[in-house]
This record gives sequence, C-alpha cells and structure tokens, in this order.
Amino acid sequence: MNGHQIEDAVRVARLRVEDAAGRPILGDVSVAIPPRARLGLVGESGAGKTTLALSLLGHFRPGLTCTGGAIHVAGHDVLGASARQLRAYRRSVVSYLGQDPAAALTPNMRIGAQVAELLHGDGDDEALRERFEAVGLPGDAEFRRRYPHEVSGGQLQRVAIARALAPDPAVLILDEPTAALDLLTRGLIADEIERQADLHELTLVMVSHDLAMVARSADELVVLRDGVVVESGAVDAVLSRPSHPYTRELVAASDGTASRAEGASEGSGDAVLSVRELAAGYHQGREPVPVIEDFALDVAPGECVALIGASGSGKSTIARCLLGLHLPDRGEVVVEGNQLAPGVRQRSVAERRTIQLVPQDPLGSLNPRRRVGDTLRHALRTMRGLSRRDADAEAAQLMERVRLSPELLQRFPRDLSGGERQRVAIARALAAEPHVLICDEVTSALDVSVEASILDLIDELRSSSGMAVLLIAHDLRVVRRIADRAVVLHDGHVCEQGAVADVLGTPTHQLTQALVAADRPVADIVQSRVSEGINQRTHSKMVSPR
Amino acid sequence: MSARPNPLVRAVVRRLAASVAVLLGVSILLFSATVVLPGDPATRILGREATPENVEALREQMGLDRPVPVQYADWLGGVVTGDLGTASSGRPVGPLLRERASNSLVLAAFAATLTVAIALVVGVASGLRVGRPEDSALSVAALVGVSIPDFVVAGVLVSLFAFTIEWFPPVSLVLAGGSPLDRPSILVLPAVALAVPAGAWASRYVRAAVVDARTAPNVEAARLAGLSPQRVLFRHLLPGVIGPTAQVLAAATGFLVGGSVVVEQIFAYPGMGSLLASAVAVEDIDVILATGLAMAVAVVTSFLLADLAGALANPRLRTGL
Repeated sequence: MNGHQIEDAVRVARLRVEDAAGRPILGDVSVAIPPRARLGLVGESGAGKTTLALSLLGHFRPGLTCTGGAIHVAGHDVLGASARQLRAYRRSVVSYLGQDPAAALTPNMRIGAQVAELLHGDGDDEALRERFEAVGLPGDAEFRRRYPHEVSGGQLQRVAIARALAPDPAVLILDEPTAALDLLTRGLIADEIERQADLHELTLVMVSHDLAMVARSADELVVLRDGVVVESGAVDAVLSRPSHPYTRELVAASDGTASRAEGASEGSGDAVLSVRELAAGYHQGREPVPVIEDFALDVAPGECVALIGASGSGKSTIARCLLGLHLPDRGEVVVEGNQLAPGVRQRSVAERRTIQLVPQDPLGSLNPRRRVGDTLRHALRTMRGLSRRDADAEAAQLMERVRLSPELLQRFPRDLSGGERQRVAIARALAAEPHVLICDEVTSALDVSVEASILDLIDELRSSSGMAVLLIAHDLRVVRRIADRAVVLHDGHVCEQGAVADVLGTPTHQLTQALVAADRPVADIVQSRVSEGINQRTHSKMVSPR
Repeated sequence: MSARPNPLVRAVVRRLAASVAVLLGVSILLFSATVVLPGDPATRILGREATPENVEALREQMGLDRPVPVQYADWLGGVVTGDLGTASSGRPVGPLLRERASNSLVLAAFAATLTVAIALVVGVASGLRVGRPEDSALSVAALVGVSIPDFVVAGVLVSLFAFTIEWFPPVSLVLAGGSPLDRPSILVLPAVALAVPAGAWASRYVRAAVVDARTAPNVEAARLAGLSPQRVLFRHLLPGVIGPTAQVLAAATGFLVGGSVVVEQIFAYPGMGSLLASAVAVEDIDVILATGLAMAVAVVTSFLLADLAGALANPRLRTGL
C-alpha cells in the first residue's frame, strides 16, 4: 500500500497514558513493527492492551490522557495530527476491528451501506459485490440490502471484516474480535482474517489475552503487564524461551496438556443426577424450533461431566431445563431419586437447593447494590432458613471454603477482581449445599492465570463434598483440567461421549475432531510453526500459501 | 412472511384496541369527577331563590335524578353517535367543540413542532458535550425551563415581545368565523410559552439517550473509521436515539394539552383549553365532559403516533421479520 519498505509500519516510542486520577495506564511503551509483519499483543485484562491498540488510531477512551511519547504509523504522526488529519488517517491508513464486531455495526443501517460508506472512490455496485464476496458473503443486492438483524452472527462478523477492509488500510488492528465466539467459528473467522491479511499485505496488530490464539499467526510478540512491556521479540523465541517470569506463567497457564490430577474420583454409587428423554425448544412465531432432542445423562456423586459443543448446540438449554428456567417439552430430571417439577416455580425450596448454578458472568449475576456478605446471607437464609447469626457465621465459613478473606464480605462486587467475583458466585451456589453444581462457562470471562485457580477450587470442592459437577465449556483446556467424562453435543444430539482422555484423545466424530484440532496447545503451535517456516514471511515478499 | 400479517400492522391494531380501552377508562373518570363536583347544575341554572319543586322538576327534565351508571351510559351513547350534549348557552356542544378544537390543533401543531425542535437541539447539543461547560449551562437552562410555570413564561414573553419590543400581539384573539392562520403572528407567543417547559423537560431525556448512544460500540466504530462528525451523528448515532425518545416527545405533548388550559386563557385564545377553563367556572357539565374527552383523545393519539414512530425507527419491526 504505502511504499515504506525500510521504515517500520508502526512505531510507538515511549508512550505514556494516564487515567483521570493520574495513575499510569501505559508507562513508556515502545513497539516497532516492520511492514507486513504481525504483532501479537498479549496480557491480562487491565494490562493496557486495548488502550495501546486504540492509541494507534489516535483515540483515547474518555478519562484517559496521553502524557507523552510519539506514534508513527506508515509515516503519519498520529499524536500530532489535527482532528481533520486524524480523520483522513483513520479513513485511509488504519482499520480497527473491536471486541464485538457485530455490535460495531449500526442496527439502523443496511449492511451494504455500512461497507459502502467506507469504500474509496465511487462505491459502485460491482465494487461492493466484490467486497462482500471477498469475505465469503453473498454479494447480491438483495443480501446487501439487509439490516444487521437479518443476517446470522457469523455473517455479521464477516460484514465487520469487509467493513474494516473497505478503506484498503495498510494496518489492521484486531482487538480480540473473536473472543466471544465458540472455537469453531473463531477458527473460521481467524482464518478469514489471515487470508485477507495475506492477500492485501496488511500489517496486523493482534490483541489478545489468549496466548494460543496469538501464537498461531503472529510473528512478533509483545507481552504487556500493568502498562509496561515485560517481554518482546519473535514469537518462537519468546514462547520457547520466555525470560520474564510473567511470560513463563502465561505460557504454562495456556498449556492445555496439563491434565487433571490422576486418581480422579471415578464417581461411585447411584447417579445423583439423571436426565431422561429430555427434549426442549422454543417457538418462532407458531413454528416450534427444537433445540435438544432425547437427551439423557447420568452423573454419579463426585463426578465431573463436561458438556461440549459449539454455540447453539443446546448446552445452555440443557442447563436451563435442569434448573427449571426453561420448560422442556418432555423428559424428566431426577436428583437423588426425586423427580423434580419441570418449572422452578413448582419446585420446593428443598428441591431448588439440590441443583445450583455458577453463571458465566459473575459481575452480571451479583447484585451490584448488595455487599458480598448480604448476597451470601440472603442465599443462606432463603435456601437454608438460617437465623441471622447462624448465617453470619456460615457466610464467613463459605468465604474460607472458596479461599477468600472474610474481610471481603463488606465489599461490593465492583470492588472485587474478576477471579474474586467468580469465587463469590461459587460461594453463593455452595450456600445451598447442592448435590449438583452446574458451571456455565465459569472461566471464559477470566484471565488464563486466574482460570486455573478457579478450576482447581471447583475440583477440590467436588472431591471434598461428593458434589456432582456439570461443566459447560467450549474451551477444551478447561475440560481437560477437571472433567472425568465429556459429552459432545451437536445440533441438540449427543454425538460422542466417554472418558475425557478417550473423547479428546481419539475423537471419532467429525465435530469433536474439529474442536480438538482448533484447540492446539501453545507448544504444539510453536512446533508446527518451526517446521512450516512461517517466520519467513517478514523477510520474503512472497507469502507462502498455507 | 406473506401469510403472516406484518408485525407492524399487528402492533398498530393492538395499540388501537388499547387506546380505546384507555379512552373508556378516562371517560369513566371524567364522568365520576363531574358527579362528585360540588354544586348542582339545576340549582345553578335556576338560581338560589328557586323553589325545591322547580329544581326537582328541572333535575328530572335533565335526567339528573336517574342512577349515575344510567346517566353515564346515556352520555356515552350520545358521544358514540356524535351527540355531545348541549351547552348552558343552549348551543349544541358538537359544533362549538369542533371550532375550538381546530383552533387548538393549529396552536398545538406550532407548539409541538417547537417542543420537538427545542428537545432535540438542546438534548443533542448537551448530550454530545456531556461533562463540558456547555452541557452544564444547557442543563441549568433546561432545569430553569422545566421549573418555571407556563403562565410565568407567558407573562415574561408578553412583557418582552409585546410591550417592550412590539413584535407580537399581547392577546391572540380570533375573529368569529375566522381562522388563527389569518394572522399567524398571534400564535407565536402562546406556542413559545407552551413549548419552553415541555421542550426543556423532553430535552433531558434526549440528552440521556444521546449520552448512552455516543459511547455505543457502533458509534465508536464509526468514529474510529474516520467518518465525518456529521455522518457519525446523522447516520450512526441519531437513528438509535429516535425510538426511545419518541415516547418522551409524545408525553411532552401531554404537557402541551395541560398547559393549553392556562396559556389559552392568558392570551384569550379561543381554543379547547380556554373552553374547558370557562366551562369549569360555570359548571357547564356537557362542555367539560366533551372537552376533557377530546383532550384525552389528543394525548392518546400522540402516544399512538409515537409508538408508530418508534417502531418505524426500529428495522426489526419495519422489515417485518
């Protein structure tokens, strides 16, 4: 695009950003990316990744101010630009694909118009058709006249990509655009982005908290922690010989091969939870849409069963049926020999206590106006009928069980870290002394290094109390770590099940194979990168077809 | 999709049915209010010195001796068939109300346009500059506008624009048989007096919607794509604001209807508001009932239009999926 062969495509020099209170968000960050290289920007939430990514566009979120440094992208001085120059720069040099690309589309505008408004020159019909077809979308006028709500989620992601590519940028900044997707869709979209990057010789900046995600396609790696670059260099070098302890921790944490402790309780005795012939769905207009059909499952005391599948495969619907939040069309849910009423309203408190949920997003499920202690006491008093004093004592004990200091009982959820919040959510579920604990993607909102400790906690609680755990996950790393058995769902049917080692070790169903293939650990990726010689890309002009 | 009726049509039909129910409820409340009002129309017509026998005879003639539900059913039957009763002057209420309502409609159209303009301009301007001095200034101005009663606004306007600089007439008389549009300048001051409090109130909601929308991911994305501020505002930000604020603007026209009772009196404008005010003063029951119901119809209609506007601003409803 731009003829800067020698000059770096992106050069950030000693960038400093502070928040309104004067605390440093980025401290003296320097990054250089050669043209057509791919930079992976890794770090935990709060490390300053998004701040750095947005600064490349000359944008600082409200409350943040840049207090020093310089940014040059393809010869443009980003921080010194006037508002008009900045608009022209964003319009032609750099594109940004954010965390939820579908949400970045305006609901009131036709998707064709949203791509067309960013094309250069006269966006005639033929040019627009090509742009749509280039990202694997139908290019016909009928499709382009649709509104965002009229296309599927995967298609929306592609529209967002077409939009990001419309101005023919030299630099594309990807801020975890696939984080919210399941593994399969994530793989497809990542492949699409890579294909486009190859095709248009883009310089990529990829922001992620998932090391494995970045390791697959980046050339250079920058590890951020608390706004400071702790390690940078070629991906292979950093991953195979991480020098900073934090990087070593990240590499170890994202290494999915670490399997659960041996001698796992095999689950003994009669099933504590058994599900028979469960079928459920919803209605679209008057049309019934089945989501799950003839689902059956037995979980023994102390056993951990993982439900795996792409989004839309019915995992959550099953969980909601078990909890009585979704009325199944037929089927029964039996806990400890007692058949539960289908709807939660018909269940007695004693029945409700038997199955408890730890939801995906602890921030959304904890009442923001209640202190942690009030949340736990409320659960203890309504579920177990404890007196005020007993509830106080029990709440402190629960905090100890989830390895939190009882001092946090006085805090509000917003004053806790993500990991602490999830522990509180687990403590709230434990308050009911459940026989079955449903964990719905409990770690997907957490950083990798926190993830392990939460999973270990669940594992430990399970073995100490004999509670059965139903784990819903799309991340196989999580499944490998604590599950005994895996049940793979596809379009509402069980397509494969068995011991985790068998199902994930020698998958027989196509879907399981695809899931396993999409979940290669970091070590594997580094290995294959070396043998495929991916690193040649920055040095040769030709891009090897992969 | 062809077999099913458009959801927009279904929604409108549902709303219409609900509106009828609301009007029925309003009519019951209105009628009850006139029943419990102190004073007796027959006594008032005949004067204090009338003999109880005469009063009783008139009450019987007016139907006031019948049970209240029967009187209500009788009145409602008349309304449905177009007979709104008789004013104390002996004129039928229908033509009287029609003339006054059309005058009010003209004033309301002026005032509503002005209200929407004030609400949108002030709301969008301060919402886009949230936290800055301009926003604070506009917020204070809006609060002042909401807090000052409309009759004070009217008084200030008259003393400024009618007496100090004589731009507009201090009273808004309409000649009998004439239309207010014969001399549009008479509409300006009453319309402004009505629109300032209503527009200031509605602007707070528009501001809140804009504040939310400006940090929405799609608006941030449009800005990061380097689109011009105008395009970001009109194509990406405002369309998402229209739906939620249409309701508020409809509620603001409710302000207008209430305010018209006072403001039309001040400017001696022959609309429904002044008709109601004078009818209440002389306990002209049939006029009170008919005017009150007409005002309720106006408010309900504006909410209906707002729902429609909100639905049209939402592509999910508009495209019938």
